[in-house]
Amino acid sequence: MKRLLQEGVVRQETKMADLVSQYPTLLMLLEHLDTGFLLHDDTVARYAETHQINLDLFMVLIRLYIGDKPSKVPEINSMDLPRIVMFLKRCHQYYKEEKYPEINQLIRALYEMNHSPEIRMIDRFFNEYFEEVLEHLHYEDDVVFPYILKLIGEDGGTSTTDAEFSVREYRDHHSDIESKLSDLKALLLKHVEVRNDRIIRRKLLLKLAELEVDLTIHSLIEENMLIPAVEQIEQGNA
Amino acid sequence: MMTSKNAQILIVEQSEIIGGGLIAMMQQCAFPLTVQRITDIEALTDLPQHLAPELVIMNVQQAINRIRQVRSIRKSMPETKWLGLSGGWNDEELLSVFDAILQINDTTDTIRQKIHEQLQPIFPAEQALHQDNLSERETEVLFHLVNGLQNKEIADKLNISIHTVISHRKNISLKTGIKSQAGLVIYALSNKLISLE
Repeated sequence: MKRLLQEGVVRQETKMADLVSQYPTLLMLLEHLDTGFLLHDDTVARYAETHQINLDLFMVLIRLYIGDKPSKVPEINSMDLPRIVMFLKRCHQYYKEEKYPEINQLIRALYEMNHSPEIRMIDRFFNEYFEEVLEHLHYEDDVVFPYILKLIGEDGGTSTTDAEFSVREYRDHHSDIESKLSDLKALLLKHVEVRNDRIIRRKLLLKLAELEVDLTIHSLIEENMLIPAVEQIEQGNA
Repeated sequence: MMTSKNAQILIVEQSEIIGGGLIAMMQQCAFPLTVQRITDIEALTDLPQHLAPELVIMNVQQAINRIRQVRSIRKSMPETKWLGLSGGWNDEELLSVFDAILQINDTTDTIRQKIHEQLQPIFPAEQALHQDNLSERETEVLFHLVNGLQNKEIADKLNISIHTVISHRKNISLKTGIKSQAGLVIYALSNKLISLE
């Protein structure tokens, strides 16, 4: 397998602990990968090896999480797919079980401080938006991911997914769910009048920003790694 | 269900043609308006103050030899703005009864602008919207959008092409930072372009 050129701040020999210290958002990456936080004295390469992750893939993921858009996407082969699918599934869990309740609670608290109709509408706006997100996540968990695992024979023969499905359908289904989040931020930052709610608003904006970063990376991985890899396999099978 | 705080506009005009033309122009304005036509200012004498309209548009001909009466009516509704509709040259004293003059050959845009100027104190929305540098046309499109109209309906209402509507929507999104219709509704509420009932 061709190794990517080592660029910028992330090298194979970089110490994981130094990286995570400098870029705490990497904690989310490790959580989604389910590889644990105890970094010892591991380099990036050693960590990837210990946890059986494709090194090139790992380095691209690191760069995504530190806000660096890698110019080249590594070739994902079918051996990497189960890992990526698991990663994405864990992201879904994080959005559903942590981010949504957190943000929901903050919006409610915001309404306590600022009883305006705009804030009430923001509550509704966020909940309607998140329903769309959930629908998309369920579609992936229940249809897309089982299909992909079945395609590579990793489903243990238990999948009952419709064999007619193709990844092109998924690509079409993959709507731009980030724009509503960005609308929410714009409303809170630029337009809705502040009434005794500055601190809660700050907390809410920070949480929304965190969610946005994670969702953006999530979409990038799905669109630029997952879908092309699956398309290749489909073509190979055709 | 979203409704707007409507400004009452009274048109004092005998001619059906001119009156009809003015009413049609009002309907293209960004402000939420209720428009009525009467044929003579007599109906305005002894009008209870709470029924006073926000704006009166009156043919200046109707004020000839009745300046005192007009001034007296104006005194009884001090908050109301008066626009005079003029067909050509009129004497200064006559025109001074009004806050501003609409010329018969003014373009739609000019007329709308003059009306907006008179109504602006009532609708501070204009101020806020100017902070985002929304043009008058963009404000109009936004207003109809947040009241639930589709692109085609907005195009028909404003007599512009659907592509122009889409282009205005893109600019609105760029300037406000908001793309979704639901988000724009909240924006419009915050800027008092609409209100909830």
